Amino acid sequence: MIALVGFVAVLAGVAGGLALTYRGWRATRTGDPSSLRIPIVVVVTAGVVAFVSLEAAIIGHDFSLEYVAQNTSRSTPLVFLLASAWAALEGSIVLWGLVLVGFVWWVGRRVGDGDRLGIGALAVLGLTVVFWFGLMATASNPFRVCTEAFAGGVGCASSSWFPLAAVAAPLDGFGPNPLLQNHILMAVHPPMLYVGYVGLSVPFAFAISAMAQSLQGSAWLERTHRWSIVAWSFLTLGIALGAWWSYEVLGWGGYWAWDPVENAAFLPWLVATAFIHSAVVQRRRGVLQAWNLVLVISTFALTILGTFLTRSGTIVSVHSFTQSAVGPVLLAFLAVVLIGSFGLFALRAHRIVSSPRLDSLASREGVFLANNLLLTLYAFTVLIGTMYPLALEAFAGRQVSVGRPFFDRVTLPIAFALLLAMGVGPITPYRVARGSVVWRRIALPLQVALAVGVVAAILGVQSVPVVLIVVLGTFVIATILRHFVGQVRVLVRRGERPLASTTKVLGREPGYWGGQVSHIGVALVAIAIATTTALVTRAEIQVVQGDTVVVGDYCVEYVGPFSRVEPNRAVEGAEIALLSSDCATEIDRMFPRVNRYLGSNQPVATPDVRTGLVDDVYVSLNGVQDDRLFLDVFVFPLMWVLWLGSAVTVTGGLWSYVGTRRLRRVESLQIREEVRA
Amino acid sequence: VSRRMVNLGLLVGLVTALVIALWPAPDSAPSHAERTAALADELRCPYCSGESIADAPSAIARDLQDFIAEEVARGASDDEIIDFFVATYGEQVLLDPPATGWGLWLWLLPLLGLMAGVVLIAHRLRSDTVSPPAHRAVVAEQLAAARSDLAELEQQEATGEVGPDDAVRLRGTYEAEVALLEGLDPSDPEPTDRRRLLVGALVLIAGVVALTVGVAVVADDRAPGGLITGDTGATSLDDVTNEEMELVIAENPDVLGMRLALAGRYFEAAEFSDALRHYLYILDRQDNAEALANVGWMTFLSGEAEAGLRFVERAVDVDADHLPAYWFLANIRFFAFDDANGAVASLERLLAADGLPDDIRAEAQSLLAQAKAEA
Repeated sequence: MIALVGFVAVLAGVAGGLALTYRGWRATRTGDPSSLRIPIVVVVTAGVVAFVSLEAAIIGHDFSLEYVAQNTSRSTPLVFLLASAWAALEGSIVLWGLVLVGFVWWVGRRVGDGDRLGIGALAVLGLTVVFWFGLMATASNPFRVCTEAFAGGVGCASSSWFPLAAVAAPLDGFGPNPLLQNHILMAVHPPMLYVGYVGLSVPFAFAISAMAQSLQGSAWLERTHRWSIVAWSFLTLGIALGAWWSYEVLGWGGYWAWDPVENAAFLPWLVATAFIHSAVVQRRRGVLQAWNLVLVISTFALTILGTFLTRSGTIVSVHSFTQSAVGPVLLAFLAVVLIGSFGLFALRAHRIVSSPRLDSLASREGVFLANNLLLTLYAFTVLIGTMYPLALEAFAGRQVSVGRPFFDRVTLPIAFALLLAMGVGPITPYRVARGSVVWRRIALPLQVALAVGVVAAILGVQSVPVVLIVVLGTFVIATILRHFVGQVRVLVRRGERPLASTTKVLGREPGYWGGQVSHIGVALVAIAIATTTALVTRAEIQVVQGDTVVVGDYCVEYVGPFSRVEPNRAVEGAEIALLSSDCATEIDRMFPRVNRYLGSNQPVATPDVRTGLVDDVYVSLNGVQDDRLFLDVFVFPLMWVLWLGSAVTVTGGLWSYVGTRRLRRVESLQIREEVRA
Repeated sequence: VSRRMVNLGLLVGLVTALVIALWPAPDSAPSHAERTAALADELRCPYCSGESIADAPSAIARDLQDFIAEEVARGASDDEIIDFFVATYGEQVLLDPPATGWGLWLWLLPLLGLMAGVVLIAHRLRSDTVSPPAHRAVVAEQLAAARSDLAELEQQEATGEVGPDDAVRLRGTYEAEVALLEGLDPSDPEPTDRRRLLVGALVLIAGVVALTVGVAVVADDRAPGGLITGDTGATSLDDVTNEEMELVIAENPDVLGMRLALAGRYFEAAEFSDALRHYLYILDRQDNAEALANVGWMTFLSGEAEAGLRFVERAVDVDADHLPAYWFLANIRFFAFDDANGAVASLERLLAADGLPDDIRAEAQSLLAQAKAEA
C-alpha cells in the first residue's frame, strides 16, 4: 500500500514538474503567475508525500519495499532508521526531491504579478523537478516492491517496479551499511550538503530565465544573491560536518583525504565562493556580468558532477558505498545542462550583459578579480586531479592514481595567494586604491602577523609552509580586527557608546561584516590545517597488556580488552590509559573500539579522541592478533581550531543573510512611512 | 615621515628575525622513521580504497609499511623503494604521478588555465565597453548606479581614500556616463524568439533520451572493471590472476594476507599441492585458523584422517568463529570415525552461527539429520 502511495506521489511529481514548466513557459508572456499555483502545490505535495511514505515504511518495518529490506533491519535503532531514508542511493534522491520542492515553494511565494524573471525561474526549476522525480520513477526507484525474499527470510532477492505486483515480504532486512550506522552525524551531514547543493539551483534557474527571455540587468543576481549565501553556508556546514564525521568516526586518522567524493563536494563550494564574491562586484560596480553567468552555470554543473561521482561508483574511494546504475543518467543530464546552458549563454549573453570597464586594476575590484582567478584556478586544478585518472583510463586505457601528495603540493601556493588576497582585499578601496592608503591599513596587522610567526618559530615550529600559513592567517584576522576597531572608534569619537557602536558597525553593513567573519573562520581553518597536517605526531604501535609506549608528549598504556553486545552490533575494544610523557601520571582513559554489525562482516573502527587546548590525542584500534593489539596513535596540534574556524565561517554566512534581511525590512518600513507622510 | 620609517624598520626587523628563526639546522637529514612515513604517504595501498599506505587502516597496509621500514633500515634509497613498488603493483601505486608523458598534462593544464585567465583579464581590460541596446529597466538601473558612484566617490574623497587627481578623473567619467544615460531613449525589450527556444529545448530533451540510452548501452557492454561499471580492478583481489599474485608474494614473502587469499583459491580449485605449499609457509609464521582448517581437510582427503582431525581441532582452538572448521570437523568425525555425537555437536555449533550461506546451511541440516539418526 505504501509502495503505491509513494509511487503515485513520484509520478505526480513528474506531472507537476511538467505542468510547472509548461504553464511557466506560457505565463512568461503574460506575466501572470496565478496559473502556477496548482503545479506548485502538486510538486510540493508530491515531494512531501514521497518522503513521508518512505519514512513510514522504514519505521513501520514494511519489508515488502525492497529499499526497506536492503537498507534497514528490525534491530536498527530509531535514529538510524530515520536516517536510513537517505542513507542509500534511492532514498537520497527522495531527500533531494524534498529539498528541491521546498525551494520551489519558497521561490513561488516570492513571485508576484508581472514578474517574468521569477516565472521563468520557476519553469526552469520545474524542469529539474521533472528530472529528479523522473529518476525516482525509473533508474532509482525507492518504492520497488519485493517479489521474492531470500531463502532465509532476510533481505529481498528480486523486486518489481510495479507497486501492485504480488508481494513477498522478507521477515527482516539487512540493516544499513555499517559505516553509516556508526554515528549520529550520518543523520545530519547529507541533508546539510543537499540543502547546499539544491539551493545552488535557484540562482542557476534565475540566470537561465534571464538569458532565455533576454532580460537585461542585474535583477537575477540581486534576487538570488542571498539565496546563494544561504546555500553556500549550508554547503560549508555540510563539508565541515563530513570532515568531522570522518575524523571522529571512520578511524583513519584524518578529516580530509582529497578523496574524489570529498573533492566532489569541495568543487561546487570553491566555484560558489568565487560566485558570491564576483556577485558583490557586479552589484556594487556593474562589472563581471558575463563572468557571473559562467560561474553560476559552472556551480550548478559541478553539483551534478559531484552527484555523478558520488553516486555512480565510477571512482574508487572510501565513500564508494554508493555505487549504482544511475551513473549514465546523471552523466547525460550533466551533458544536457552543460550544452544547454552554455549554448544559451553563447546565443544570448551579449544581449543581456553590458561590460563597463574597470576604473583601475589597483582597487577592490582588482583584488576581487584576483580572488576569482585564484578560486577558479583552484577549482580547475582539483577538477583536473579528480578527473585525470578517469580520463586516462577511458581514453588511454591506463590506470593511475592522483592523491594527497599531488593535491597538497599544487594547491598550497594557491592557498598562500588566496590568503594574501583575503588579507589585502577587504581594506582596499573601491574604484582606485593609493598605495599609501592600503599601506596605512595593513602595516600594523603585518607587523603583528610577522611577530606571531617569529614566536611560533622560536617555540619550535620549523616547517616553513606552516609558519607562512600562520603569518598569513594572522594577517587576515588582524587586518579585519584593525579595520573593525577603526570603524568603531570613528563612532565613539562622535560620542556614541562603545558597545552600541560595535553593534551599529556590524549591523550597518551586514553583508560586508558577515563576509569578514567568514574570512576569520577561513583563516582559522587554514592555520589549523597547517598545524594538524605538518606538525602531527603519528605512531603505529603494537602492544600487549601492560605495555607502555611513548608517543610525542604522551605515553600510552594498554590496560586491557573489553567487549559488549548491543542490539545491532558487537563491540570489541581496548582500554587505554593516557599518561604523561614519563609514563608516571595518568591523564585520561580512552576506549577505542571495533564494531561488528549484524548482517555484515565488515568491521568498523571507532577511534577515541581526547580533545585538549594544545592538541588532540586520537587512538584508533587497527587490529588484534592473539593478545597483541595494533594501535594507531595520532597527536594533532590545535585540532579544535579547525572546528571553531568552520563554525565561524558558517556563522559569517548566516549573519550576512539574516542581517541583510533585517536591513531590508527596516528600509521597506522607512519607505512606507515616507509614503504615508 | 618618521612614523613611516619606524613602521618600515620594524617590518624589516621582523622579517629578518623570522628568516633567522627558520634557518634550517645544519644536520637535517631525515631519520629512518621520517623517510618511511614520507614514502608511505606517497604510495597508494594497492588493495585498499584508494588511500595511501600511511592512511589505510588495513593489515595489508600495515605489512607494506613494515616492509618499507625494513627496506629503509637495510639501506635502500627512496627511489629504489618507489621503483620496486611501481614494478610490483604498476604505476597506479604512485599518488603523485611523475610529470612525464601523460602525467605532464596534470601539471600543464592548471598552468594553461592560469595563463588563459590572465590573458582573458588583460584582454578585457584593454577592450572597449560593450553595451547591448539599452532597455528601459536597465537604463534606470545603470543611471542609479552611476549616481551612487558619484555620491560614494565624494565620500571617499572626503575620507582621503581616493586622492584629488583620481577623484577629478573619475568624477569626469561618471558625470559623462550620467549625461549619456539621461540622453538615451530607452526601448522596451523586444519579445524573444520563443519558437526557436522551444525547438532548442525539444532537441535538447531528445538529446537527453538518446544520450542516456546510448551511454547505458555502451556501459552495459563494458567488461567489469571498465570506467562506467566502476570497480577499477586494483581495489579487488578478484581481478588479479593467480600468476600475478604469485609474483607479488614472491616479492613480498611475508605479506601473509595475500598468500592466504591465493592459497584459498588453490584450495577451492582443488590444486592441493600449491595450496599446501602456501599454507605451510603461513603456519611456519603464525597459527592461522583458515590455514589450519584447510590443511587438515586436505590431510583428511589424502587418507590421513587422524592427522587431519588434529589440524582442524587446532583451527577451532585458534579461532572459535572460523565456521568452515566446524563443517570439516563434522564430516571427518562422522565419516572417518563414525562419531555421530561429535558430528552433531560440530554441526549445531555451525548452524548456530549468523550469516551462514543458504546452501551450506541446507547441507549442514541434512547431515545433522543423518547424524542424529545414527546417534
